[in-house]
Amino acid sequence: MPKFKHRALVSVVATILTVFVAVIVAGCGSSTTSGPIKIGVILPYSGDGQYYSKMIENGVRAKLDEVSNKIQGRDVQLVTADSAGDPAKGAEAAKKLVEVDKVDVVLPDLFSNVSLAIQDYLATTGTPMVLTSQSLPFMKGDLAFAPYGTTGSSSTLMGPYVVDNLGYKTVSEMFDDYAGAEGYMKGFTDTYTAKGGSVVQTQKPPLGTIDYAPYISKIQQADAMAIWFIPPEAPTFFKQYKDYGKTAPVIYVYIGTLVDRDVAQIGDLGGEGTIGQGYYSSAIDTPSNKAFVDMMTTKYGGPPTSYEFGGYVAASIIVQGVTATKGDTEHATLIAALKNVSVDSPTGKISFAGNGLGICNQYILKVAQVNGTYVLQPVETFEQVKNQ
Amino acid sequence: MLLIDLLNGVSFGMILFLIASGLSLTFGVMGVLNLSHGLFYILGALLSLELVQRGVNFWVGGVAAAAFVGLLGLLIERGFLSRLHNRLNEQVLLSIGFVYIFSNLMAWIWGPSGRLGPAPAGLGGSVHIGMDSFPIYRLAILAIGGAVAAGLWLVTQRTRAGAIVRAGMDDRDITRALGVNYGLVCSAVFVLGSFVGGFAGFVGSPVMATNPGMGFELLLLSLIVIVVGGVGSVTGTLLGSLLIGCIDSFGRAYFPNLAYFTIYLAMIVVLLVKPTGLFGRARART
Repeated sequence: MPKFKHRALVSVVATILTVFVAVIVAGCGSSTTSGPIKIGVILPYSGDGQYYSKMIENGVRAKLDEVSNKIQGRDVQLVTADSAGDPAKGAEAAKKLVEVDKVDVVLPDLFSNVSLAIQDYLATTGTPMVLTSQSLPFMKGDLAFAPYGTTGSSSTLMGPYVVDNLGYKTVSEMFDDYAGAEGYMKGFTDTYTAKGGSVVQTQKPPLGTIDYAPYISKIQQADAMAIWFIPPEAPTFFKQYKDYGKTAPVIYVYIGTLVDRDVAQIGDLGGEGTIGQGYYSSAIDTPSNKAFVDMMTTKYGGPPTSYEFGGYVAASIIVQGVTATKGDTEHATLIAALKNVSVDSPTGKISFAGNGLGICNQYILKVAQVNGTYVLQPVETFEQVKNQ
Repeated sequence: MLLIDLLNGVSFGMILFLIASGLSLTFGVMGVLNLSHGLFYILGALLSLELVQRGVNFWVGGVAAAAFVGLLGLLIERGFLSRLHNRLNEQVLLSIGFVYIFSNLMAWIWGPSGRLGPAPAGLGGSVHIGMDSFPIYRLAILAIGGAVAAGLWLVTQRTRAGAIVRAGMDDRDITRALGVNYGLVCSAVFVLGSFVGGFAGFVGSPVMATNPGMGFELLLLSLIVIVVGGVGSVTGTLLGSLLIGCIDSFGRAYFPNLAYFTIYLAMIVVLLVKPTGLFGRARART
C-alpha cells in the first residue's frame, strides 16, 4: 500500500476511535435513574466538631443499613468530606462532592455558618440538601430541607412554657456571642416577652470564654436564668454559677444540643432540674423510640443523642424521597418528592411545610436522674409543631 | 461589687501565672518557642480529674499528674526540641504538630466535652463578701499561686542553679565556657516549665472546664502575659498575669462590648512603651 494511503487510513481509524472513546466517556457521567445513588455528607471530621460528626454519620449509616443500602434497586453510597468546621473548606468540599463525586443529595455541616456557605454553592447546581439539625434563620430557598426548622424555632416553645407553667416573670439572659446562640436565644426571648415576660439583663460572653466569673458576678436579680452555650463551655457556667452562690433556676433554652456526658456532668455540677426545649431524647417513652435506642445501643455501644437521631432522620427522608420518585434522583424531581415526604421517625411523624421547614414533635426536657443516670427527661410534648 | 471584681481578676490572673510561668522560663532560658505549652495545662487537668475520679486524693492526684506532664516535657525536649536549637521555624512547626497530635489523642481518650471537677474537701463552698458570695477555692488559688511564685523566685534568685539559669539567659556562651552543662540546664528548665504547666491544669480544673481543643486559647493568653510581664522573669510573669487577669475581668464586667479587645490593647501598649515587657530581660546571646 502506498505510504500516503497508509497514513490516511491510520488517521481515519484514530479519529473514529477517539470519537468512540469520547462518546463512551461522556456516557459514563452519572445517570439519575441508574447506577448508585450517592449521598454526600459534609461534616467537620477534623477539629472541634469531629466527635459529633461521627455520631451524625452513625445515624445515617444505621438507616441505610436498615434498607440494606439499596433504594428502588439502586445501591446507595455514602461519600463523606471534611469541612474542618471552616466555611471555605465546606464550600470546597461541596464542590468536590457535586462535580467530582456526582452526588445526588448533600447532608450539610454540623456548623450553621458552614452550611450557609455550602448552600450558597449548591444553589448554583440545584443540588438538594437535607439538614441533620437546625438551619440559620436566613437560610431559605427550595434546596434546603430542615426537619427541625431554624435555630430560632428550637426554643420558641420555652417562652410560653416558662411564663404559663413555671411562673417566671423575669429572666436574666446569658449566651455565647455568635449567630447560632443569638438564634436560639431570640426564639425564646420573642415568645417569652410576647407572653408578658421581662428580660432584665442580657450578657454575651465571647465564644471561647474560659472564666465566666466576671459575668456571673454581675447577674441581676430575676426569677430565672436563661442561657445557651456551646456544649464544651456549658459545664464551666454551671460550676461557677453554683460556686458563686446563685440559686435562680436555669433555663437552657435549646437543651437538645447536649449529649449524654454533657447532661451527666451538668447534673453532677448542680444542674439537676435545668429545663429546655429539644426535638429528641433517648428517654422519650414511645415504642418506636425504644426500638431505635435498642438498635443504636446494640450497634454503637450507647444510646443515641439528637445527633444520631438527626442523621437517621435525614437518611430516612432521602430514602422516602427517592422511593417516591421510583429511584429517579434528578434534582427537580427529587426536590418535588422531598417536599411531600412524611417519615415515621422514632419520635413521630416528620414532614415539611412548603418552605422546606419541618413539622415534627418538640419536647420540654429536664435534666433528671433516672435509675442513677442523668438524662434529658421529657416533661411536656408538643405534637406536630410547624417549625419556623 | 468592686472587691468581687478585683478578686475575680486576681484569681484568674493567678491561674494565668501558673500557665504562663513555665513558658516564660523555657522561652527565656532556652530561647525555644514551644507553642504546645497549652497542652501541658490540658493534660495536667484531664489526668488529675481522671485520677481523682478513680479515688486518688485530690492533692496526690494533682502532683502525680503534673509529674507525668513533666516527664512528657522531658521526652519532648530531649527527643525533639534539643535538636532544633536556633531553628525557630522548625520549633514552631514541630510544636504546632504536637498540639494537633496530642489534642486529638486526648479527645480520643476523654472526648471533646469540657470537664471539670469538684474542689477538694474543705475548700468547697463560698464566703459572703457584702451582699455577694465568692468561692473559697478561688481564694485558695491566690495562696497556691503565691506559693509557686515564691518558690520559683527563690529557686531562680537565691540558688546556684538559679544563678546558672540567669547567667545562661544573659550569655549562653560564657556560661558554657565556665564549664556548665547548658544542655542539662535547658532540660531541667523545660521539665520544670512542663511540670508547672501541668500543675496549673490541676489547680484550674475545679474552676474552669478543660477540653482537648483549648490549647491555642491557653497559649495565646500565656503569650500575652509574657509579652506584658517580660520573658524569663518570675516577677514580671506574676505581675503581668495579675494585670492581664484584672484587665480582662474588669473589661468583661464593665466594658462587655470591648471584651474581645481589652487584653490585646494592654499588650499593644506595653509593646509600644517597653518592648521587652515590664520586667523583661534581653534575649541570651548564643
